[in-house]
Amino acid sequence: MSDLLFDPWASPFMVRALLALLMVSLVCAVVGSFVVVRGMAFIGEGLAHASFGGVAVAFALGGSIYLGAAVGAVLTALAIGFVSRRAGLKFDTVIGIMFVGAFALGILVMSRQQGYVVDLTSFVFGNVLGVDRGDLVLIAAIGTVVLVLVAAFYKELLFTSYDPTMAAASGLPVAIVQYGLLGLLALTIVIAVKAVGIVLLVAMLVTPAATAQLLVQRLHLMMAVGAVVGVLSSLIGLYLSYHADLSTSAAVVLTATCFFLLAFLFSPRHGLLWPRRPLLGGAPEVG
Amino acid sequence: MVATLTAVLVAGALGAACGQDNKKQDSGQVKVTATLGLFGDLVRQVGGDRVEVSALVPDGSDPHTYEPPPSGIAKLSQAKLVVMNGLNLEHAMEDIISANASSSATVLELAAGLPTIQGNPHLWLDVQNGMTYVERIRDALASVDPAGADVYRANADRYLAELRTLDQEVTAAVESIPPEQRKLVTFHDAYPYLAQGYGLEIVGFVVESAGQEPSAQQVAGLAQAIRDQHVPAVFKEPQFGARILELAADDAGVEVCSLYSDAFTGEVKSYVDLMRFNANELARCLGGTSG
Amino acid sequence: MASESIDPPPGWGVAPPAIELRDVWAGYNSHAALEGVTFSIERGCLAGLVGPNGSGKSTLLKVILGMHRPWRGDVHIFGQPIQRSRLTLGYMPQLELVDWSFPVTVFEVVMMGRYGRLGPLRRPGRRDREIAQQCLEQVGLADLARRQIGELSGGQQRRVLIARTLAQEPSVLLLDEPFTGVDATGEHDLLHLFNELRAQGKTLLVSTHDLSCVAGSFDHAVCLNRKVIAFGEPRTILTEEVLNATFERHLLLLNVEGKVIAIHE
Repeated sequence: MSDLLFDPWASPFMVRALLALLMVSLVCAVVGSFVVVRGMAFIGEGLAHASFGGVAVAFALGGSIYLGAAVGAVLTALAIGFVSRRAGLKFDTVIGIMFVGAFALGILVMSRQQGYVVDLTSFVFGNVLGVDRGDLVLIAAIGTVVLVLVAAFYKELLFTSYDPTMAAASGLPVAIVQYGLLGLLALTIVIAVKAVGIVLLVAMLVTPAATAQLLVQRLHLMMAVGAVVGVLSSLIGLYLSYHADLSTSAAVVLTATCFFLLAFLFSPRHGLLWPRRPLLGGAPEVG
Repeated sequence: MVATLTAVLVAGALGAACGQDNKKQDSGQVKVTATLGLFGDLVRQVGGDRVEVSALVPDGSDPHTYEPPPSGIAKLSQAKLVVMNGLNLEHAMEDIISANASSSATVLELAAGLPTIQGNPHLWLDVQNGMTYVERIRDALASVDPAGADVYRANADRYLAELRTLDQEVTAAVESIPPEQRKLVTFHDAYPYLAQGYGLEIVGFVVESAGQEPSAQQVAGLAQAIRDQHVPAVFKEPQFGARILELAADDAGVEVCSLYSDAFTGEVKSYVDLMRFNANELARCLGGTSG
Repeated sequence: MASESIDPPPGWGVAPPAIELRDVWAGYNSHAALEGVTFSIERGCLAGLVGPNGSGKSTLLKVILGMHRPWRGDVHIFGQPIQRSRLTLGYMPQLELVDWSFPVTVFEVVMMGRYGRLGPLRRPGRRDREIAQQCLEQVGLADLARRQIGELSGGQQRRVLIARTLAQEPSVLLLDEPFTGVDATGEHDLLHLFNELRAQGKTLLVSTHDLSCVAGSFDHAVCLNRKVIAFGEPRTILTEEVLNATFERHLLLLNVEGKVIAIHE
C-alpha cells in the first residue's frame, strides 16, 4: 500500500508536475470563483482558445510562448469588449466569433510551419509531465502576482461582481475592474495552459469553484474549498495517470468533475439527494 | 449585380478548367509524386533527368498527421506515378490519394508484401529494405515510361552499389559499439527495422504514435528503464519537440542525441545522408567509434 | 399642466435644494430617454418619481447619481455639481437586478455600502463595521447578519438593500422601485421607515408606479414621461389631465383623497 502512495514521487518529473498542478489549482480556484459567480465560463473558454492564436504566432516568430498566450488572450478580450459595445450584438455572440477566429488563426499559422508542431499540440491538450524548473518558477511568479492583486482589490471585485449597478453608483470604476478581471483571467490561462492545455483549462477554472459553491455560502470560502477540490483532483489525477496509465490532464479534470457530481448529489443545501430544510421566514426560496 | 457576379464566377471556373489542360503539355518529363521527400529522393536517384518529382509532405512535417494543401493535391492529380510507403504511414493522406490520383496513374506502395515487424511501416531504416524500395521504383518507372527503361536500370544499378556500401558502413558503425550498450530509447516507435537489421535492442519509446499525450506511468516507466538498463543515451528526432524524452533523460542523467526517421532537415537532404547520420550518431552516443 | 417655478423669488435666501435638475437631456445612442427635465426637491422631502415603464425613471436616477452622463443640462445636489456630491448620495437599485444566489452574507452586503468611502486599497475598519451593524438594526435584521442572502424572504431582502443604502450615510436617498412586489403590510413598513428617515432630515426620491401610495403619503411628486409633465404636491398636481399625459395609454384607477379617477385610452 505504501508503495502505491509513495512510488510516483520518486521520479522528479512527477514531483514537478504535482507542484505545477498545485499552484495552478490554487490560482484557478481563486480566479475561477469570480468566473463562476459572474457567469464568465464562456468567455473563459473563449480566451483559452484565443490564447492558442497567440501561442502559434509567438512560436512562428520564435518568441516566448507564454507571452504570446497572454497577448492573444488580452487582445481577444479587448476586441470582444469593443465589438460587442459598438456593434450592439450580444456578448455571447461576439465571444463565439472572436475566439474561434483567434483559434483558427493559430491553426493557420501552424499549418504554415515547416517544423513538427508537437510543441503546439501539447498546448491544446496539456503537457504537465513536461514541466521543467523554469516553468515552475514562471507559474509561481505569475500565480503570486494574480493572488496578490485579487487580495488587494478584493472588495472592488466582490462589489462589482455582486451588484455592478450599485457599485457604479458608489463610484467604483466598474469597467476598469471588469477589464482587470479579464487581465487576471488571461494570466491564469497562461499558467494553466501548460498544465492542462486549452481544451481542458476551463474545467480547472470552473469545476472546483462550482463544486465549492454547492457547499459553502461565502465567496472567500468558495475560493478555499475550490482550491482544496483542485488540489485533491490534481493529486488523484496524477496517481491515476501513474498507476492506471491514463492521460494526466484528462484524469485530473474527470476527478474534479466527480467531486462536482458528489457535491451535486449530497450537498446539504443544494443536494439532489439531501432532504430539504425549510427556509427562514417560512417564505419560499427566492431566485 | 447578381448577374455580373454569376458571369464572373462562371468565367473563372472555365478559365481554371482550361488552365488545367494547358499545364499537362509541359516539359516531357515523367511526373512523379511521392508522399515523403525521402521517397522523392529515391525516385530522383533512379529517374534522373527523366522525372519531375514532387513530395506531398514538406520536410519536417509529420506524415502520420499531415494534410496537404490544394497546391500539393493539384500536383498529385497530374502525376503518372504516385509513390507511397503504405502500412498506414501516410494514414491521414490515403483518402486524399485515392480520391485525387489520376485514374491513369500508377500507385506504387513500396512496403507492400514485404515481411514486417508487427506492421510497423518504417522499413527503409534497414538499408536492405531501402534497396528493395529502389528496385521497385526502377520497375515502376520502367512500366510507366518504357522508353527510359535502360536509363532507369543504369541509374538503379549505380545507386544500389552506393547503398550496398552504405549498408556496410552502418553495420560497421554499430559493431564498433560495445555489445551491452547497443540499446535504443527513442521518441517514437520508428526503429524496429534499424534495430533488427543492425543488431540493436529497443529498450523503449515515449509515445506509441506521435501526437498522443503520454501518461505518467509511461514516462515513469521510461525513466526507470533508462536507469535500469544503463542506457548511455536517448534519441529524439530532430523535427519533433521531445520535452518528455529530454526530461526523462535529464532525470536519468543521460545524453539526448538525434536519429532521423522519415523527414529531412537542412543538414540531411538525402536517404544516404540520413542513414549515414544515423550510423555516426549511434556510434558517437552509444560509445562506439564513428566511421 | 401645472408646474412650480424653479427659482425662489430674490431675497428669500433659502438653502439650496437637495436635488436640482435644469434642462437635462439624456439618452442612449440617439434615442432620448429624458427631454428637458427640470425640477427641484427640497431638503427633508419625501418625493415620488412616477411614470410608466420606459418613462426614463431609472435613467433619471442614474443621471442624478452621476452614473450616466446627460447630453445637456445641469444636476446639482445641495448646490454642488454631482462630481463633488457622491458621498452624500445613497442608492438602492431595483430588486430584480440583484443576484440572490451570490455567496455573500447579509452583513457583507450591508458592508458594501461602505466601500464607496474607502479608497482602492483600504480595508473596511471597525467604524465601518459598527455603522453596518447599526443600519442592520435600524431595519430589524440584526439577527440574520450571518445568513447567506438567498436564504431570506423577499421582504427581508428588500430590507437588506435598504440597510446597505443607509450604510452609505447619505443625506439624499435615491430608491428605484422599492415598492414593487410589496404587499400592504410591507408597504406600510417601508413608509414608516421612510418617514423616520425624513424626520432625521434626509431627502428621499423614490421611483414607483404606485400612485395611491404617492398620493397618500408623499410630500412631492414628479410625473415623468420623458419630459416632466408636472411636479409639486400630489394633491395639486395629480389631476386627470396630468395623469393622462404621464401614463398615456395605460388604464388606471386611483383613489386621490377619496375621489376615484379612471384613466383610460
